[in-house]
Amino acid sequence: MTPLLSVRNLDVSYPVGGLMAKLRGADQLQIVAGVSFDLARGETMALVGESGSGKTTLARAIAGLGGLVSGEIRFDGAPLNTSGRQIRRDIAFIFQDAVSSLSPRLTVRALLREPFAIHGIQYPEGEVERLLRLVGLPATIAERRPHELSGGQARRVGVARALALKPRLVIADEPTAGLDVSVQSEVLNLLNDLRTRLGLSLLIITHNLNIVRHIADRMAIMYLGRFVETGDTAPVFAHPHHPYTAALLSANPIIDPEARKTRLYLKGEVPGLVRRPKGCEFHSRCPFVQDLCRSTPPSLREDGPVSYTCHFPMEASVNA
Amino acid sequence: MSSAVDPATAAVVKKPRKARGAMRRLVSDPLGALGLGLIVVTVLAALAAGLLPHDPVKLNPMVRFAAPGAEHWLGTDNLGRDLFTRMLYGARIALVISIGATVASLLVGLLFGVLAGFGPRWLDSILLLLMDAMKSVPTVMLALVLITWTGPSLWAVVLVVVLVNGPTYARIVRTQVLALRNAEFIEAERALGAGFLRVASLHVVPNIIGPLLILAAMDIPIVVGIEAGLSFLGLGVRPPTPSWGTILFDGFSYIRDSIWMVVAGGLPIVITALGFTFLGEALRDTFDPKLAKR
Amino acid sequence: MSLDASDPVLTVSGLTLSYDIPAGELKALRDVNLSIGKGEIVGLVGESGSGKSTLMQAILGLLPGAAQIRSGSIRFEGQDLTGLSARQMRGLLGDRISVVFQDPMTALNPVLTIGRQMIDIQHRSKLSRREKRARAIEMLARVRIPDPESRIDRYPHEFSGGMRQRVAIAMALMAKPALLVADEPTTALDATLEIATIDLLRELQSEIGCAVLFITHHLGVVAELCDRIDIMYAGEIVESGATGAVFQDPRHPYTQLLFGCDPAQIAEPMRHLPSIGGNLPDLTAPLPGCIFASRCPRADETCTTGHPADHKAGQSDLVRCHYPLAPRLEISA
Repeated sequence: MTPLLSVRNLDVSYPVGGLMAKLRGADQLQIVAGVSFDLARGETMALVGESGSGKTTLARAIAGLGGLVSGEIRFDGAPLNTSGRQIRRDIAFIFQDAVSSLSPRLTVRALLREPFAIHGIQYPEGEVERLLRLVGLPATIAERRPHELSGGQARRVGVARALALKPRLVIADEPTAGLDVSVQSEVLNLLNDLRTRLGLSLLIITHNLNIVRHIADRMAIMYLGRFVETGDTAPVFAHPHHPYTAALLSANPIIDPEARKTRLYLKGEVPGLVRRPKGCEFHSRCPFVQDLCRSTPPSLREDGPVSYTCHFPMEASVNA
Repeated sequence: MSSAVDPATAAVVKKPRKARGAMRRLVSDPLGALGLGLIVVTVLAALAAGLLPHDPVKLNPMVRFAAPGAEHWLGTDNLGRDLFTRMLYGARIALVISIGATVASLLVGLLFGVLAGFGPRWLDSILLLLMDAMKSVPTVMLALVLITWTGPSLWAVVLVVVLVNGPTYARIVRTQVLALRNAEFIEAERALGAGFLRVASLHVVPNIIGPLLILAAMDIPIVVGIEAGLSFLGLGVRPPTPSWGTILFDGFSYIRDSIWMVVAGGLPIVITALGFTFLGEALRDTFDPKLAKR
Repeated sequence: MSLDASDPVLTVSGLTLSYDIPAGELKALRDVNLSIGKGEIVGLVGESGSGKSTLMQAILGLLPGAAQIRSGSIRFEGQDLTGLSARQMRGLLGDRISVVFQDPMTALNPVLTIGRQMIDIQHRSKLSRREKRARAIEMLARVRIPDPESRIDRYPHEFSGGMRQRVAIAMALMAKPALLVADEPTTALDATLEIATIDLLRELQSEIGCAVLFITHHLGVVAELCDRIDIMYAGEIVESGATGAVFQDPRHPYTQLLFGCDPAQIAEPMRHLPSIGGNLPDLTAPLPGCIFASRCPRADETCTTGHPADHKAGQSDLVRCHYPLAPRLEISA
C-alpha cells in the first residue's frame, strides 16, 4: 500500500535580504535540506528538534503554507499540488497558538461554519454541534468568541475546525504548548482518539520528548533543517545512534542525581543557517567530534528500524 | 475523559452586557452626552427643515434685513429669505457633505490601504508614493485647481475631501493590515483555503475598523469646516442653495445692515463641529484599549 | 537532609489575599504558609490559576491595585513586607531580593548595551565606574558568556535567547541578594539550554549562598534543581516537603494525580494518557470543604463539609488533606 504522504529530498528556502542580496546570489536562506520520509495511513509521526531546527518550516511547506520548495511531495501516490484548493481539504494544520489562530471577532459557530463556506460546500445541518461533540466541548460554547475560551477549549475548537472538512492528514504544531499537564493529556488523547476513529495520519511537531515517547509511532530528530535520526519511537529512545539525539534525550530533567552524571552536554549554541558548518553539520557542538566529522558529511546509515547520519554512532548502552 | 465544562458559561451572558456597558459609558461621559446631544439637534434640524412654511431660496425683496420676530425667527437676509429656514436647510447640506464625504474617504482609504498592505511590494511602494504625494498638496490649492477644472458644485467639495482624507485613512489602514497580515488567525484562514477577498472583508477589516471610525468621527467637523470654507470662497455649493458657508459669506458683506446672517451661518458650524469633536473624543476614551478603564 | 528552620530567609504565614472584581471577591490566596531557609532552593509548583504568580507578586510587593491582603504576614530578614511602603520595597528589590523573569527581555532595555545596564544596576555601590565594569565582565564570565570583554558592549538583541537569560541571571545576582525569585526562567528555553541554565543557577547559587524561590509548572525542573517543593492548587499550598520525599511518596491526592499525569513520570509508553478531569473551583465562592474535593476521586462527606488542617504525613511536612495517610491513588488513563 502506498504511504499517505511521501517526501523525497525536500529543500525549503525563504527569500531574505533585498536587491543587493539578490545581486550577490544570496537572497535565499535554506532552512530545510534534503528531507525524505514516508507517513502511512493512521500513523503518528513526531518531528522533534530545538528552536531553529526547521521542524515548523518543514511542516508548513508540506501543508503548502509558504517557503520555496524543491524536491518531491506525493500525497496518496500523486504529486501534491501545494497551491491548489484540494490540499486545503486533505491536509489540516493546527496552529501553535490556539487562541490567536482563531479570528477574534467571530463566534465559535461562525468559525466552525467557515470551512464549508470557503469551499462552497452545503453546510450540513447540525454540523457545528456534531464537531463540538467530537472534540468534547459542550454545545453552549458555540456562541462564544475566542477570547472567552480557555487555552484547552481554544485548542479543541482549533482541532474541530481542522477536522470539519474530513482531512486525511492533520499536522499539529506544538499542540500542547502552554497547556497544563492535565489538559495536555486531554488534547493528546483527543488527537489520538480521532486518529483511530477517523483513520487520520498525524504529523506532530514538538520539542517535548516526553509526549513523543507516548504518542508517536515514529519520530524524526531535526538539526539545522536535516533529519539526523529517524525511526520507530521505542528503538530510538532505547538506543539513540546520533549524539544529538542522545543529548536531547538526556536533557530531560530528572530527580536521580546519579543518573545526571551520565548526561551528555553539547558545546556552544546552534550555529546560524547562513554559515552551515562543513562536514557533519553537528560537529561544532558534538562532544565526540573527530577529524573526519569536520571534513566529510556523513551518509545515511541504517540499523534495523532506525536510520541516522553519523560517522561514529553511539553505543547501545549509553542511555539504556 | 472529562470534557471542559467550566464556570465560564457566564461569558455567554457577558457579551451583550459589554456592548450595553460601552454605550452607557459613552453617555455617562459628560462630553460624550453633550456631543451626542448636539449631533441629535443638528440631525433633527436637518429633518425638520422641510416642515417650515418659508421657501429657502425664493427671493422676497419686500422684507430685506428683517429683525427676528414671530414671522421670521432669525430675521431675513439681504434678499428677504427666512434665515431660520435657510439655516436648517444648511444643516442638510452640511450633514450630507460631511458624512457622505467621510464615508467615501473611508471606503477609498480601506480599498487602497488593504491593497497596499496585502499586495506585493511594488504595489505597496506605488500606492505609498501616491498617498504621500496627495498629502503634500495643500487643501486649498487642491480645491482651487480641482474646482477651476470642474466648476463649483457639491460633488467637487466631496471630491476634495476624499482626496484630502482618503490617503490619511489609507496609510492608517495599510499600517494595521501590515501588522495583521502575519497574524496567526490570518494564516489559519489561508490554511483553510480562504481567498483574498474573504480574508480582507471578514477577518481584516472588522479588526481594524474601530479606531478608523473614531478618527472619522473626529474628522467630520473638519469636513464641515472645509465645506463652509469653500462655499464662503465661492468654490463650494452654488449660491441659491443654502449652505452655512454662503450664508456666512453674505452676512459678512452685509454685516452693517444685519448681524443675524452671520449668526445663522456661524452658530450651526460651531455647534456641529463641537458635537462631532466631543463625540469622537468620548468614543476614543470608551473604545481605545489603551485608555479604557476596566 | 536537614532543614534549617531556625532562621529562614523568608516566611509567609497565614497569607490570605483577595481581588476585588465586579463579580465580588475572588479569594486568590487562602492561608498560605511557606518558608525558605538560608541558601535553600524551593520550588513552587502549580498549574494556571493556582495562585503561584499572585503569591510571587505579594512577596515582591508588585500586587495590582485590586488585590487586598486580608490577613497574614510575609517576613523577610526580620521585617514584614506587607507593611512596607513602595519606597522601602524598592530599596529591597535589586539589593536583598532579586528577580529573574520568564522573558529575559523584560529585564533588559533593548536600547542600552549590556555593559551600561550592568553598570547602572550597581548604583548603590561606591565603586568607581571602571571597577563596576570589571565586576560586570567577571559576572558575565561566570554565567559563561563567551568573550565577555567584547560582548559587554553589545546590545541585548545581539545575544541568543539562552545567553539573554544568562545575562538576566548575572544581573540579578550581581548585588548578592539573600533571595532570588525566579519566575519560570527556563520555560521559554529549549531542553538542552534549560538543563544548562539550571546547572548554572545551581552552581551560582551555591557560590553566592542565596536562597531561591523557583516558580514553575515543570515538575522535572523542580526535581532536578530544588531542595524543597511546595505544591499549590487553587490558592492554597496543598503539600510541601523535601523534593525527593514528595516525589517518592506524595501524600495529597492532587499531588498524586499531578505527578501521575506528567508524561515524563510514566515509565511505560501509553497511547492514552491520564488526566485529572474537572475544572478549578469558582474562587469567588469557595465551598466550605477541601478546595480539591470537587475533583478528588476519594472525596467523601468530610471533605465537602470541613476544611482540612495541615498535617505532617509520610515524609511530607505539610499535607492539607483529611486523609493524608490514605494509600496512594491508582492513576488510570
